[in-house]
Amino acid sequence: MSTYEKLQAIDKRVIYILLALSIAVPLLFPLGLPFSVGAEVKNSYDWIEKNINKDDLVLFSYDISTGAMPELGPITTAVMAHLAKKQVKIIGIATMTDGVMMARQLYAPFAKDLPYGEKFVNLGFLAGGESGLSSFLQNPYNVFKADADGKPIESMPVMKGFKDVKDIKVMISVNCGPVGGCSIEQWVRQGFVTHKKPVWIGLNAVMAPGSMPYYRSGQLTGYIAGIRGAAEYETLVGRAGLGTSAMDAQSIAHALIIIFIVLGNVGMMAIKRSKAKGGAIK
Amino acid sequence: MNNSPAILAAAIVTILTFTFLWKSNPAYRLMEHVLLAVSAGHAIVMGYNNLRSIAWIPITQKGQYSLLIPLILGALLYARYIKSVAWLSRIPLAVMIGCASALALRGSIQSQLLQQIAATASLQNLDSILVFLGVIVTVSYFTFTYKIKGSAAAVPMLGRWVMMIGFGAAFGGAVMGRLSLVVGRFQFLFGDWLGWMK
Amino acid sequence: MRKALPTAILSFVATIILVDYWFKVPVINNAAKDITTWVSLIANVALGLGAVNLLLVHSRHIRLKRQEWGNSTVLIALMLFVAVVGIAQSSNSPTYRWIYDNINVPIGSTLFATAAFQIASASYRTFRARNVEAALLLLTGIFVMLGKVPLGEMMASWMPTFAQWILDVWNTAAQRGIMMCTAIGLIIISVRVITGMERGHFGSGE
Repeated sequence: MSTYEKLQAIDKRVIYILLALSIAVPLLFPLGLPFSVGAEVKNSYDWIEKNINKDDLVLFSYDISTGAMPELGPITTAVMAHLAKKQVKIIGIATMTDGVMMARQLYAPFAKDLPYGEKFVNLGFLAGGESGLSSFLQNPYNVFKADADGKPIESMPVMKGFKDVKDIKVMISVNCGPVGGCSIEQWVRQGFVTHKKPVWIGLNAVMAPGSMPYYRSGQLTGYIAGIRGAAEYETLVGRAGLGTSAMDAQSIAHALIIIFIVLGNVGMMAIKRSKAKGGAIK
Repeated sequence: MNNSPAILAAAIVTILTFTFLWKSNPAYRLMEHVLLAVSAGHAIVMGYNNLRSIAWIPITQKGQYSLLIPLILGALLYARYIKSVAWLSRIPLAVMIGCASALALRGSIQSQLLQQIAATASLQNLDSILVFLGVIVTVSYFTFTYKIKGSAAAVPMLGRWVMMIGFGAAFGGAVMGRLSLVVGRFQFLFGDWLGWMK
Repeated sequence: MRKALPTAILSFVATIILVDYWFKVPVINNAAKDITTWVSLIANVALGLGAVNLLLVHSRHIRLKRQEWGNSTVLIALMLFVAVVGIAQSSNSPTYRWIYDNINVPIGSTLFATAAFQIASASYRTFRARNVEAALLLLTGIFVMLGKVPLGEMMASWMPTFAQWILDVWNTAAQRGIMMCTAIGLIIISVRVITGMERGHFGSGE
């Protein structure tokens, strides 16, 4: 077996260890690599700054599964920090069952700024996907009579003035995809197309390229993608968090993946060439 | 090191789940079963909470008996487990699929077709012209009704190349997304648990 | 009857929802509102289906002492425990939150995170630029990966702009083209489902 062939057949666990080190070392010894804020995140931030005011009703959907929490948690925290600064009223829902618990976790740091019942309510799980969302937007009391803890919602100050979708200023969904909940397409269909309301999205990096046409066609007013989006938003709200601290590790890990791709292809070409020549190369 | 029961439990289950990378083992398979169990139990709790507040209380305390209809329909879903009446589970499915497909149809025409065509046709600068051309060649790739021959065959071939760029971007996004999940878990292990992160 | 009735119900429900969107007919509009609410209610009832399925499958494993029946026992016991705690106390009770936040979330997050290691292994062993298309895919991926991290910005100041240009122009063009073609397919399939020409969603057999 030539050197290249031996390298191609390396145990995958060696690769795993290298990747783990590429992430662990920058986390433990931060490099502090600077990064800029992109236009998408800046425009999304500016939209909220210019259009959302104190006591405006914001529908916030925590469409976050347990698997997406490391990516979408920092986005949610950064956006909620912005909304807390603006002192809006947040109607929290979740179109997936996990989202109810994620909402509780992610709301906790803002309990003082957004008192429960006055500035924030977690209505709980909205079942039925797009059908449930359609019903909710026509009349929230069709599908919710109590919050996620079973407390009646009609007398809550935060629900005052919320009769239907016309009272909502913007719909925000931090979204991990269609499995078990409403997808970005469904939010666009119900929010923007049917009710002509602004739809603002936080999403994971996996889905970002596929959802870009909605943003580029003006159907989404906000578009925060992945941990990089979270880091940029944290910079804008002045609250460095998990997104910012992840950037160094993300950098080194990406570099390693690229090195793997290049090495793998170089090895393939070397083996191909040696086979074409009819001999093994050392 | 934070050895509170909560953090310690989270750290242990995280490490046990990561052991899958070495090789599949009983500890990892136990974690899979635990995840399934808690998720299924959680779904029951969410369903119960909702049904209690939007169905049970309105029916029993406010006399809104029309809500019995969807409850019965929902119960029919469980008929699938009884062979003789399994076909009854198709009825609530029909209601759900009918509603969902109609909602999708009425919205998709606008959001995925008309708005996209309008955005593509809006030629304001060089980038928008490139997008326009890219969309044309991509759509031409999906023309299966007749075979495009000769020099015109270059158009769908370009469409393939444009799609490969799109898939490459998706690949980059997928790598970024998955890596950030590992970063998140390591942030917990090194930060919240071991306290080694600054 | 067993297929005709559900097909008729599906068509009827879909017609109401479609007419509601384009026409103002109070009876139809109110019926559409009720249908969407009912679907949400039905979906709530459906949440128990997963648990019933797990119970049936895993209790069979336990009864027949199949491989890893111990795990099946843990699964059923834990599922019932979580359900009882959630119903008797609440999903916000300390016990429930402890289990969810410190057991479920870490396992779920870590499970998805393991995919990153498999991507890394695949990057080295499988991602090969064997032809022009594959090379385009890999090169684009590399530029997007570099452009979206600070290291890429450090290597070349134009890297983030170039990566964003790839996303804004070429990725948008590709995804838009695919989206439009998919939308046409979706419309056709929806029409076929609504008019009863498609029956596959009801399953086979009686």
